Amino acid sequence: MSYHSEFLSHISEIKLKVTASTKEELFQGALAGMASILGPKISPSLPRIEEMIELQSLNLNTLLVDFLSEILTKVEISGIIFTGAQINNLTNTSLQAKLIGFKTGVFQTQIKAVTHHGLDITQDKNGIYQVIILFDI
Amino acid sequence: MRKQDLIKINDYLWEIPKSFRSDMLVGARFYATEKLLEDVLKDKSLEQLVNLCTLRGIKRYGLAMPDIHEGYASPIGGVAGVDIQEGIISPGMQGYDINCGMRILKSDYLEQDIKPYLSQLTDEIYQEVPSGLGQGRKLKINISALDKILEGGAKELVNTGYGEPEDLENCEAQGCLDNACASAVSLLAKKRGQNQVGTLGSGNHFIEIQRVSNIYDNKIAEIFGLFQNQIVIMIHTGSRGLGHQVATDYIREFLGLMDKYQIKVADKEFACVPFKSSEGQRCYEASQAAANYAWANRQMISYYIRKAWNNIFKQKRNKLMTLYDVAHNIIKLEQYQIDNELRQLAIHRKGATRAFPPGHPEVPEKYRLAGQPVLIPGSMGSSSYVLHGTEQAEQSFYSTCHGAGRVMSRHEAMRRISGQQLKKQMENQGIIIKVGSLSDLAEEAPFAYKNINDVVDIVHQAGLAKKVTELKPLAVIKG
Repeated sequence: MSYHSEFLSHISEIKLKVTASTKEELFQGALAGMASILGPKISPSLPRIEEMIELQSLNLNTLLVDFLSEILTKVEISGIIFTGAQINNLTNTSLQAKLIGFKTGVFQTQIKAVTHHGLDITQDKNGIYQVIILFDI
Repeated sequence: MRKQDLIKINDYLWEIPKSFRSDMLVGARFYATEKLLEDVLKDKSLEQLVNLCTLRGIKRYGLAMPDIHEGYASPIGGVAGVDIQEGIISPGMQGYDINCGMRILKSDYLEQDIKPYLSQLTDEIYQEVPSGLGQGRKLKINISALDKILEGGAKELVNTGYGEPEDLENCEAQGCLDNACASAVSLLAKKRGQNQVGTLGSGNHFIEIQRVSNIYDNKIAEIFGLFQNQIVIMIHTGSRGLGHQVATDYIREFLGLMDKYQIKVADKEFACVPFKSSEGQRCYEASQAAANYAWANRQMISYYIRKAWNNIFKQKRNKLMTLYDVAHNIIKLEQYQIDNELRQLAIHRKGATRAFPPGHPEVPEKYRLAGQPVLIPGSMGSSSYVLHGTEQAEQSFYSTCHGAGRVMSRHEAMRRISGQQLKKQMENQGIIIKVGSLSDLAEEAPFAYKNINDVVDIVHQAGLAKKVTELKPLAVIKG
């Protein structure tokens, strides 16, 4: 898996920058970044949980927010932290993936929402994708 | 934004003229001293305030309170009065934590009365009120009971034995907005809310045991039932996951509807539709339902605090009475004179506290001579304040600040001090800290915020609300 993520400074919220070689990896990197904010206390003995997710959205930007938001909702309802995803199909408006997670119940940081603020997935001349995501915490 | 782009109206008020950017429909005004302005200019909050001024139907000015700081869509501390006939409704302008707000419970005890029991009381409250993410209550309420809370708010809980009639009397909107509709709230939102009634959450949410340390206006303090060295308990929380999901759902929906209504926004988080459209009305009903949920949440937390209080003091004679409960993230319909005509506006407040004046019909009768109690928390370890509403605040759509306002990122705060060090610092000041996550504690270090005394002084000097009492923390309970 080839993605890189780093946290940027923001006065009140959390700003995550993700770069990746493919759109799929960009989504995976964003999910891993969100999981690291939630800071799950995952014990190696916890059973692995797999769950399918299917989404449709307006465009690639809103699809990424919807993807992360949907997972955030699942986290809060089920207490399962999803740390990874096997993305089976990804277009600019739809996604089908298998989420991989662990039931923990307690997390370190609360994320209220994944925002659309300034979110714009871009691709540079070398084909590298980049996005900056602002999480309301 | 540069200082030379601003017009200084007076020592506490600045204006960004409508001519600053071609898409502004009104000018922007914000409250700050020269000293605080330096902090305001360091982040993007004024650019965000300019964006707010482009919302369709906005009247007078886009406003920001002295605790203004960068958020998303509106800056934190932003207020927009939008004409409901021609304007929009924007859930992102309100923020995800719908009806995040404050409640103060007041006792008859003095500081010296509870000092021997303070540590025990703090522990007891911490045990009774779950805090932190994932810390729901063990008991889930079923969806039909949740629907009653969404439409009945705090009233529903008081009617079923979880409070006193005075709790409703002393609460904004009596703890229940009539236009709430449970069916406008998604099942996912309801599932998120099923086990969170009576929970504090994490982040900057807290319960503080405080003492009245200073009285500025004896007459109004007496009307509010406040006296020197009195023990009060302050609660700061909102609608939890249910409110977050309601905002998420409607922002998602509205992003797909803006072409239909030919609406463009400067930031996608402002996603909006006409207030009077069917989609706008449904969003308003859902937003009101989430606000009711938040009032129910603070009501239930009050119930658990009272339980803890009675466990410690084991006597009924000393009840905890609600001083007031008020929202600082909300969309409310209020009437204002616009161009010599009385118009109904959807007042969007994001990190701004409503502050109604003396004589206002929505101020509880016993406070009507004084104006609404205005509850302003400070940063952790610093003072909080009770103020009262004034007629002068009409200029800000009867809005004032909601806290101190951040000046430093959470990451930078954590880099400068550890949670353990901060806890020790607080304890050295005689403040008991009971916290779920020490790293989260560091994020809330007092130096990460503006000085609350400076912020409240601006509010006082600008006449948006007047100081009644200062409150000093004795114990802090956080997620």
